[in-house]
Parts: sequence; structure tokens; C-alpha cells
Amino acid sequence: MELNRRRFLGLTGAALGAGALGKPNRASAARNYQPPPDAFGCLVDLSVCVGCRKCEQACNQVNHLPEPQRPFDDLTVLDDKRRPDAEAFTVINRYYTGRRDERNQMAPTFVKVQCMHCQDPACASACIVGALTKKPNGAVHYDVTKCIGCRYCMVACPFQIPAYEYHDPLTPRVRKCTFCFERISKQGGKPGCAQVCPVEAITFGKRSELIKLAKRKMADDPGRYQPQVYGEKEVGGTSWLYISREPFAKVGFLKLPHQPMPHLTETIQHGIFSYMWAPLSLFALLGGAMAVFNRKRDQGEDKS
Amino acid sequence: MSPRRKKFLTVWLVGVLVGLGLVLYAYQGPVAATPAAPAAPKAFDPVAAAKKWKKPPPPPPPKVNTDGTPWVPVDQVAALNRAHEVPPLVVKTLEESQRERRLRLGDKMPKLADMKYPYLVLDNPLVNKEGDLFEAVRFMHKKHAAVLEGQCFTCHHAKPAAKDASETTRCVACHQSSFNPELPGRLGLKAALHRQCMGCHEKRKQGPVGCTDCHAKKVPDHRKLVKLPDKPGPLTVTKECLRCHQDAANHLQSAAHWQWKGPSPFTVDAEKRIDMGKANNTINNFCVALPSNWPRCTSCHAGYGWSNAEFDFNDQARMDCLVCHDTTGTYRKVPTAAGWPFLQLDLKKIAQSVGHPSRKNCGDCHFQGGGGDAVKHGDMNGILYYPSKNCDVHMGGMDFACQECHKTRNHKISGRSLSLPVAEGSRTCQDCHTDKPHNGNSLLDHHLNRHVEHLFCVTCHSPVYAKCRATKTWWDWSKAGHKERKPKKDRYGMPDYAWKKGEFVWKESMKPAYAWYNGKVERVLLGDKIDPTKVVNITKPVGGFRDPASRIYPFKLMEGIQAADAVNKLLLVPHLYGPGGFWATIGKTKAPVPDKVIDQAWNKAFAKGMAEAIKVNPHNKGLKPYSGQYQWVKTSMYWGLTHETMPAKAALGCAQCHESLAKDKTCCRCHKDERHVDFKKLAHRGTDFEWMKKQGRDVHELIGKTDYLNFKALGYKGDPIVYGGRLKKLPLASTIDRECK
Amino acid sequence: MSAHSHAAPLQGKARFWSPGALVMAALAITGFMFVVARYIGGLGAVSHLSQSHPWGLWIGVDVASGVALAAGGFTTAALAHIFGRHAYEPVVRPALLTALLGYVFVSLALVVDIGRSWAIWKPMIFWNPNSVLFEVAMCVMIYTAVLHAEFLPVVAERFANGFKASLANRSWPVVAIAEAAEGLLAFLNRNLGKVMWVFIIAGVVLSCMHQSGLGSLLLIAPTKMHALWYTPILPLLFLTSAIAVGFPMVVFENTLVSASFDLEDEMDILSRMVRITIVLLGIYGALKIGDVVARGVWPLIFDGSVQGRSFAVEMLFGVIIPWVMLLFPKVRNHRTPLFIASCMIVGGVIVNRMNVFLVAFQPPYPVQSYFPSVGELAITAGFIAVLMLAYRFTVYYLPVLSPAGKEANS
Ligand code: SF4
Ligand code: SF4
Ligand code: SF4
Repeated sequence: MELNRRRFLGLTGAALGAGALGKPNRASAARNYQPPPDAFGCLVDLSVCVGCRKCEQACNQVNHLPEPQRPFDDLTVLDDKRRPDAEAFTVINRYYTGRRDERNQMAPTFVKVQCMHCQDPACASACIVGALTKKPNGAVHYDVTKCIGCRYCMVACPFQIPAYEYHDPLTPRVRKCTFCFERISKQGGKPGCAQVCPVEAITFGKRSELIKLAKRKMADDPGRYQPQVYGEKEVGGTSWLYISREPFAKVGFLKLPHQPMPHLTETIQHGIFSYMWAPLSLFALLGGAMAVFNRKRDQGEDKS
Repeated sequence: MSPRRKKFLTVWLVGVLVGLGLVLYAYQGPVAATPAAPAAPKAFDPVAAAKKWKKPPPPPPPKVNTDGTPWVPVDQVAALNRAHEVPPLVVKTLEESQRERRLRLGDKMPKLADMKYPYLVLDNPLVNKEGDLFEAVRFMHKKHAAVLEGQCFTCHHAKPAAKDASETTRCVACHQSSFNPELPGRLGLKAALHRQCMGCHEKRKQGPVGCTDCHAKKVPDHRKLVKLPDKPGPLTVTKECLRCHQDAANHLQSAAHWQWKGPSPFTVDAEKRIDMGKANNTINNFCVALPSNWPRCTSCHAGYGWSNAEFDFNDQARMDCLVCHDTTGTYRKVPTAAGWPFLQLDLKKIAQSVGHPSRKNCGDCHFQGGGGDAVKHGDMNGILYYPSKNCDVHMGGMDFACQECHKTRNHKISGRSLSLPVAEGSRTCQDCHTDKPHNGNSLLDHHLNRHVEHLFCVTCHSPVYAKCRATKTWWDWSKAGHKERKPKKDRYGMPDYAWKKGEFVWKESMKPAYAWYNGKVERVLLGDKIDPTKVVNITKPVGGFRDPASRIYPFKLMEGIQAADAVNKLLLVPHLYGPGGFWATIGKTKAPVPDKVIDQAWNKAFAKGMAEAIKVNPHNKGLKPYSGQYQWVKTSMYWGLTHETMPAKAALGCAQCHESLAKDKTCCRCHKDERHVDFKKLAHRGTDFEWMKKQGRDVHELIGKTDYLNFKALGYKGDPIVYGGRLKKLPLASTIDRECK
Repeated sequence: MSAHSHAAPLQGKARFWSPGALVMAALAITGFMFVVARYIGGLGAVSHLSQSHPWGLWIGVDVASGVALAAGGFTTAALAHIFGRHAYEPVVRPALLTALLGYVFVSLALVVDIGRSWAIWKPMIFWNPNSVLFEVAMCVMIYTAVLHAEFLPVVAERFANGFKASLANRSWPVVAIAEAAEGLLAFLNRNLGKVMWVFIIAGVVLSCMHQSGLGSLLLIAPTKMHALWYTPILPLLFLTSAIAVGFPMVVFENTLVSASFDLEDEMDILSRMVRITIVLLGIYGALKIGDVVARGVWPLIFDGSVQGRSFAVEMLFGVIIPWVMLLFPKVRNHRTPLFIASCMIVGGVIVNRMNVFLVAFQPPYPVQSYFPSVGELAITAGFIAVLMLAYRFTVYYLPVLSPAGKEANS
């Protein structure tokens, strides 16, 4: 199915009455993206998070975001399901799944939401000017000096993360978790949220190590976790990983394909534009047609 | 001059004159226009009052001991020093299950008695490095160990692999920085502590789990946040505070420190009321009552300008934030200016250094109740700004701020008193120290813990009150007015007389009055009928020997003589302070003051005082205007004693109350005397009044005292060990009066 | 090209400010005011765009539909010039003009829609070849330039002679500039014809690329798209629909213009043209139906959801009914039914673009559902109004239409 765009070009060609000029199997080889091998990540253990919103507060501070309407120690904020926005790169949401705790109270599950820093990010693939890029340290980084504000990244992101400053008339920015790019670029630097978390619900480290750690936690405490590391495979893997006591679907996680989002479009793009073969051949084809048809006409005119 | 021109000028002149008259009339007010009416009382002018107060604001109390050496909260400093150590990181721990560990150790399991550090502060720089949002946590190590019944391994869950390492290695040895790439999965110190604490609290359904249940929020630096012009007025400061803290104002608006009244859940027959307090209907035997004396009394109000019955409690602009939140120690209110501060203060600087209240903020009012240091409370006085550990183990040893016990939510401060009906939550020692506070796990601890059912902790742990500074115990208003009488200094250097107030008795290191107390209080309030022939108990604890909810509690008994309406049989409110008040009237006359003048002055003062009291208690049916005749009655008030708790070794010992243990026979009355314990020494341990005397305390009467509590007075037949307890009829020891070695 | 020679400006033959034109002007002014508001209060002030719905009416209609409807330009050009059907020449110029104006206004709409309007040039410097949007932007940009080149002869023809004459009594600098311009135009008029074939073919190639590219845009968000529209052949569908809508669009504007200026319409050309549309629309319809059937999602059409009903409307009224109508010569040969059928096809494509960009777009965490705001509608309407006025202005002053109209005959 991925090659459909190519196929349609073939079709177009056929409709114009000419055989395909293309080199048939180029397209599949065209996309050879590899995620950075040594990237950082964060492992969020939902069974540990206590929903204190300190991470939100730390994120606000390290990113110099505006003071929120309601203070960070106001936990009634959790009564609503929130999304990250231009003024809050991460939010905690509370879910009740029906599980009860030792006191027979409804046990809440808290879920931290922020950019997942996909291994093969749709936003970066979509961005018209490449303002969003996956950095070797794992961060999907936004460069405001390139951005034109088309919001295609927002359309593309499967996690609905990038947010936009809709009320800025001339210089709105796309806003999302930066993975504290500057901080983690420094030796020993940690993301603000992971650093502040009082219970280390967020573990920061090399992504590969974190996956191992997640598996070890599951093995050490059988039954505590769902047998899935969310983000290990989803959309081709993400730098932020989650393990949970509750089924992921019950606590607001999306069921997403394992194939990276940009796979289809980039395959098409690379398929068509490697050496510009497709446009050039179409050009040649049409040129030929023009010559043929117009000669015919001229001849016809001459006859008449 | 033409007639037209003349007419014009006349009209002009008349117009100008009428206009001038109107302006004058408006300016002077109708009173000036009708001089026949009685002159209206001059409105209280706070600025004038503040200006009149010539003395500069008193400086902050020096941070020194009574002997002048620098003050150090010893236990706190020791704990902090230990908290700040970072030992070398333990990389490897023994891989063993708890079972294997127990087997390995056998008899050598660590015990409660081995504990070296009963009190810890959790304040390692490793934690603060990772975000500094909260203050350090005080951790009662020994209490936790006791609650866990000596199961040290609940927390000390692994032993370092090194041979000589301690079984109870401290947390920070293994848990240091988070996300150490060398040790994936090893928690950092902060997370390790939080998870251990919160996890256990949750599992045991016991103990706090909220952030501010364990540690206070750090107050951010307000230097950049507070935007004020130079030399701002108090109201400008409040406005600036409320710019961000509007919710605080909303909270304070319904709080006792603003309203001076509120719910009275512990007052008999007023449990459901929410409108009682100093603001309207409480009365005492110090300066008696608030109505008509506002500007003097409200110099302790957390507001500005409460100078009469008309004060608007909805006006948040008049809240005084600084009196509680100043951290410079310089903020002071003029003692007579209805809560307005000294004009000389740099309010901008003060506003920019706000923070959590300290003992200074609370103490400036609460240590100074009754018009001077140590006057009212038997257990609170200026010593507590910087007390020695022996004076108050919490404030002196561990530098407690008031709100660490008096937990505060939304500006409602928990804690109750006998003197006032308002209570916004209550606190007891057991909230922290549990119902089994003696946690050494020994036989003695067992016996001591049994006491908790019958005694409040302070009964033993604070055997004397006013232990560091003398407090007033007697006040006779009937002697007031004699300007010619020269006050004499008593042995504590305190005056025995003041013409404004009458005769006093002061006492230091006083043995409390003990009474059964179940938490309820009976009160005489304004408008309550009294029997002038008997002593009027303005406040009296409720409780009894047979009431299982009652426990023996120590009180300061304040007695005195004050005025009652001879006809209406009501305690009277005298108008003391201000124009027309008793002090102003007498102050104007020359000494010696004839009795008749004093009498007249009192009559005038009571008339005004009762009139104002009626104004603020419009629905109080019992209140009547002053009849014109007064009489002096004897009154008493019980004041609870909770502060100035002494170190454990200074608590009352067994033999100091139990006569049966005072001689040779002690524990051996029941227990075989075979242990490696010196029973006698144990029973005779306790407060050393000899030593206290050497420290200069006035305790000579208490030395060698037995039956300290006076069991008979409390309803017992005698020492309960011999004669049986109050609920269990069996004597505890008389039948098993075995031979002692 | 000599075939164009009988095209002439309408100046003096009809009134410019007809009542319709006045209404357009009013709409344009309203839209302009909202544009001003957008540059004061930001996008948030005038639109209902949100964190969950970053693209709205402007992308769905102004950009996607605008580009699709401008397809008349390259399809007629291909038909007349590449495939040598010179009989269609009279409609090439108006179609070209529609396309040219269409693209200019797509660009303007984009300027308003992107947050950092002033940064619109940045894609020329910062390339992200992985981005479909980059491809589309580049093609649109180049194609707009190509359209200008294709249209230049029209301008040259009008002003090559007599430009100077009309300014004869002005001061010398004006005359000098006019002279230079005239010289350039004359040069272009003489020489453009020789290279025009490059532009014409390039125009078709570029069109194919970005028409389909627009369809690829949403392929990156498979999880956010409704299954009825999310298909890997979305680009192909976009291309075929654009090709199919080309001639109906010519019919549409031709009918409108001739009605508006009271000109004779070119029914003979038009009805011949739509015969080809039967094939093209047939291909599109077949692909579309085949797609939903092959993917097995067709039951969703009947599930009663907004999406299902929208799809049904799009297919029924936009493709199937007009296709059937066109099969009848009666329809093809008469102005009114032909106009209706064309309108339906044009409308169908617009609905399709809106469906793809708005209706099918289902964000996983909807902050709020999207419905265009008054501001968005006003700005879109304003742009369309300006577009029509500009068209009117151009045909009024430049030789675009062949006024074989009543006046010419009479
Ligand atoms: S700081 Fe940690 S525990 Fe608190 S809400 Fe965030 S992830 Fe959960
Ligand atoms: S979660 Fe969204 S914004 Fe973040 S990297 Fe992935 S696609 Fe981009
Ligand atoms: S990584 Fe940084 S930017 Fe992202 S949520 Fe954490 S603190 Fe915020």
C-alpha cells in the first residue's frame, strides 16, 4: 500500500498513454531513517506517581512559563482532564479505573502527559522548514527561528502535543515539552520534572537502559505492571516510556500502530523525489505528447 | 454709582456671604452650628495616637541566652549537622532476603535501645539540590522505631556489602543523587525518603502523606515580587499583599485572628455557636473586657484601626499581614493605636522580607497578653523568643516555631485555650507523640504509658509553670486609683501595685493547680448572672474523677477582685482606656486621690463600658446598662499550661507523686527484684528541684515534695498504687505486698 | 498565439460596478476588517482554531479547495496546448486567469493563516524534503510563477502598443519609465511564444505534483483521520478530482461571467468539453468507490455519524448525480442544466476538501469541537469576493474574454 503514490503516478502515466519510465524499486530503499542510538529517555512509572504536580511546577520554572491561573498545589485542578498547552508543557491527569486501595478507597492513577519525543517524530517529518528535529540526545527540538507557524506539526503529532500561541498576532510559537534540551545537553543535567519528582516516578537515563530497567521492574514485582512498556514500540518508539499497573487504555493512552507515522509519507516523498525522476519523466512525457499532437495539428492545418 | 451697578454689587455681596456661610457650615458640621447640643466625643485618631507614642518601636529580642551567650537550639543544630553529612556512596549491598538476614543475625538483631539518634532532621543538600520547594522535615526516629516495634529493617532494608558496615546504615549512604547511570534503578535520596515514608504511611493507614503534612512550603524571596513605593503606608502594603494573596485575605476574613470570635466547640452550652470571643462577650480578670477599650486592646489585632464598635470586618484592606509575616523582627504596633504600626518603620523592607511566622511574630502578642510580658499566661513569656532547652524542650532544644504544633490551614490556627472560647481545631501532645509516648519498650515505659489514660503529658513533663519568668497570679482592681501609693518590688523584681490597675501578686516556678479536665470549659460571659457572695469562676475546666474522658491537667489559677453590678448581678466592663476612661479621669486629678473621686471615676467607667458592651452584643438578653451601683467580687480563672515542656529527665518521677514508692519498697512490691535494674533508682528518678533551685529558680517549697499532685484532692482515697485507681477498683499493689530484698 | 487575437478587454462594453460587484466589495471590506483584527489579536481572536484543531476553514476551503478549483488552468492548458485541441483556446485565457488569481489568493490566505506571516519566505532557505507541505509549498510557489509567465502575453498584448501614447502628455520621467516598460513588454510579446511550451508543460507537471501533494498532507496522521477518507491513495484521489473538476470549473466561471457581463456564452465549446469530464469524473468516482469498498470501510457511510452523512453527500451530490446528469446530451447542451451539473461537481470537490481537512480530522483529545467562527467565514468570504472582483477587473481591462457577445454581433 505504501507505494500507492507511485502506483498512481504510473496510472497517470498510463492515462496519458505512455508506459512508466520509473525505476520500479527505488522507492522502498529511499527511506533509511535511524533513530539516534544513544538517546536519553524518561521512564514514567504510573504506579509510583502520587499526583503532586511538582513536575508541572518544575517544568514551569525551568522553562520560564507564565504563572498559572491556579497554583500548583491546588490539586482540585486534577478534577478535569487537561492537555499540555502553550503555557504548560506537561500536565498530570487523574484517572479512576475502579481499582480500590487498602482503605477501600477508589485508587487514583496519575498520568503525566508531555511530548513523547518520538524516535521517529511525525512533527519533525511534517515541519515544512525543519524547525523540529530529533537531536542525538533524544530531544525533539523546536527552533523558533525557522518556524513559520503553519501548525502542520500539530496536525501530524499522533499524541496531540504541540500547542500554539494563538493570541500572539505576529510571533506565535509552537510550544511543547523541550525535554529540557539545554539542561540534558550538559553533563549530568536532568530534566526539570524528573529532577523534582519526589518519588522518582520519572527515571531519566539512556533509553536503552530504561527499557531494560522497565523489564527488570516487571520481573521483580510480578503482577504489579501491565506487560507492556508504552513507548517501546508505539509509533516506532518514543523517548518517553511508561509502565503502568492499570491497562493503558483505561488511563488515557492511545492505541497506536508500531509503524512510525512518517513512514508512508516519507516513502512517497523519497520515492518521487529521489533524483526528481518522477517529475522529470512526466515532463518528458508531456513534452513528447505536445510535440506529437501539435505536429498532427500543424499537418492538419497545412492540409486544409 | 448707578443704581444698576449698585444692585449688581449687592447681589454679589449677598451671594458671596451666603456661599461662605455654607462652606463654613459644611466644614464645621452641624455640631459647630448648634453649640447647644452636647459635644460629640472626639473620634479616635490613630495617627495622632501613633505620633503621641514618643518611644521608638522596641528592638527585636536579642538572640542570646539569659546569661548573654549566643543562643543555640542544641538538638536542632546537632541534627542539622548530621543531616548535612554525605558519607561515601555504598555501591554494593548484600543480596539477601529479610528472612536470610534475620537468620544471619540471630541474637545480634539491632534493638530499639541501640538507637543513637532519636531525633533527625531530613535536610541533606542532595535533596535540596534537586529543587528547593520545601523546608526540612523533623523526623522522630525513635517514635517511628517504637511504632514499628523495633523492626529496624522495615526501613533499614539492606546492609552494605562491606563486612564492618552497620546493619542500620543511614539512608544517604546508599541513596544519593538520582539517576546515577552506574546504578540504574537506585533511587536518589529524595525519592527514597518519600517512597519509604509515604509508602509505609499508606500501607499502615497511619501517618501523613500530603506534602505540607510533613514539611512547610518554602516562602519565595519576596524582594522582587513585592512592588511598593518608598515609605508606603500600612494600607498600601496590604493592598500589595492582596494583589497575589487575595485568597489569604478571604481565609483570614473568617478566621479568629481577624474576627476575634468564632466557633466555640469546647464551651459548655455553646458548642454550636460560632460567634463568641473577645470581640464581643468574653471577660477575664486581667483587663476585664474589650468593649470601650479598643484602641489599647486592638493593638494586638491583625488589622488596622479597630477603634470602636463600628469596625468593618469585611474591609480586607485593613488586614495587617505584616504582624504575622514580618521576618525582620522589627515590625511593631503602637501599643495604644488600634493596631496601627509605628510610623518610623520601613514597611517596604518589611514587606519584602515576609515569610512564615516565627515565635517573635506570635509572641509579640501572645507572650505579652494582659498588658506586659508574662502577665497572663503561666506558660508563655518573652523567654520563649530564645529559650534554653530546659525552659522549653521544643522551642529551646529544637527551635520549634509556634505553627509547627499549632497546625494552620487557611489562616485558621489550631489549638484551644481555656481563657477564650474560640477554637479553630485542637492539638494535643499525642498528635505527634502517640498514645504510647514512652517508646523505650521497657517495663518502665509500659507503666508510664498507662498514665496517658489519666494524665495529660504536661502534668508530669511540666511540673512547674512560669519556670523562667514570674507571672501574675493575683490582681485586685479594688485597690486601684491611689496614685500616691508607691509600688514595691517583690522578690522577682516585679511591682506589687499600679494605680491604674490595683494590687498584684507575681509568682515564678509555681506548682500548678491540678484538676480533672475533659476538654470542655464552663465560662462566665458578659451578661451571665453571677452570685457575688461566692468566688466567680470565670473559666473552669469540666471533668471529674469518674469521667473516663477526663484526665488530670495542670493549670495556672488566676485569682483577683473585680467589679460586679450590685443590682443586676453582672460582671462589669470598665471603660479604662481613652477619653473619659478610668485612667484618664484619675490621671487628671492630683495625688492623693480621694475615694469619692475614685468612686465617681469607676461609675463613669462602668456606665460607658456597659453601654459599649451592649452595642457589640445587641442580641445578648442578659446584658443590662450599668445600674449605678457596683461591688467588688472575687473571681478566678483557670489557664491551661501546655508550653514550657521540660526535657524528659526533668519530668516528675514515680516517687514524687506515689508515696508508696517513696520509701525503700518500690517496684519490688509487684516485680521480682531479680533483674539488672536498680528499682529504687528508677522510682526515685525525676525532676530535681534542688538543681532547679541552683539555677536560680524559686522552687524551695517543692524540694523533697511527695504526693505532688495531691491524690486526695483529685478524688482518690490516696496513692492509687495502694488504694486503687479511679476506674479499676482493685488496689494495684497492696495485696501483693511481697518482700523486697 | 494568434488564436487569442480576438480576445479583447470588456472596458466600455459593460458596467464595472454592477450590484453584484458592490456586494462583493462589501464582503471584501468586511473580510479585510477581520484580517486587521487577526493582526491585532492573533489567530485566536478571530478563529476557532484550537490546540486540537490547528487547521480550519482557511486550509480546507481557501487553500485546499482553492488549489483544486484552480485546476481549470492546467487542465485546459493541457487540453488546448499539449493535446492540441485548439478549439478550446477561447476558454484557456479565462481559465488561466482563474487559476492565476486562485493561486495568488491561496497564497494570501496562507499568509493570514500561518502565524508568522512575515516568515513565509523561510521555506525557500530552510528545506525539509521529508515534508509533504514543503513539496506543496515549493510547487505552489513555482507554479504561481509559471502561471504569471503564461499570463504575461495577455498583459503584453494589451500594453505593448499605445501604453506610451496614453501617457504622452506627462512629465519626462513617467514617459521614460513607460517607454522602458513598453519596450520590455514588446520584447516579451515577441519572444515569449517561443518558450511558452516549457511553461505550459511545467505547469501541468507542477500541478500534478502539488494537487496530489495536498492529498498526502494528512497521510502523516493516520490515527487522527476518519477511516472513510484515510486511504493511502488519498493523493491519487486529490489529483483525479482536481483534474475532473477542471472543466466544470471552466463552465462555472464562464457561465457566471457571461451572465454577469451579458455576453454570449461559448456553449459549443463547453458542451464538448464536458464530454471529457464524463470520463475524468468517472475515473475519480470509480477510484473513490473502489477505495471504500476495497478497504471495507463502506459500512461507516451508513452508521449515522456526521462523517458518514458527509461522505454520502460528497459522493451523491458531488460525483454520482452530476455524472449521471452529464451523460444526457440535453444537460450538456443547455446552459442552465449544464451550469447546475458543473456547480454540483465544483461543490462536490469543495465538500470533499472540507471533509478531508475538517470533518475527517478527529483529534484524539478534542479540546473543543471545531466549527468555523464568524471571523473565519468573513475572511474566507472576503477572499472569494476580492478574487471575483479582481477577475472582473482583469477581464474589464485586459483581453481575456472573447466577447463574441451580443454587442459584438449586434
Ligand atoms: S512530580 Fe512525580 S509524583 Fe508528582 S505528579 Fe509529577 S510524576 Fe507524579
Ligand atoms: S509526541 Fe508529537 S510533538 Fe512530541 S515528538 Fe512525537 S510527534 Fe513530535
Ligand atoms: S522534560 Fe523539561 S520541558 Fe519536558 S516536561 Fe519535563 S521539565 Fe517540562
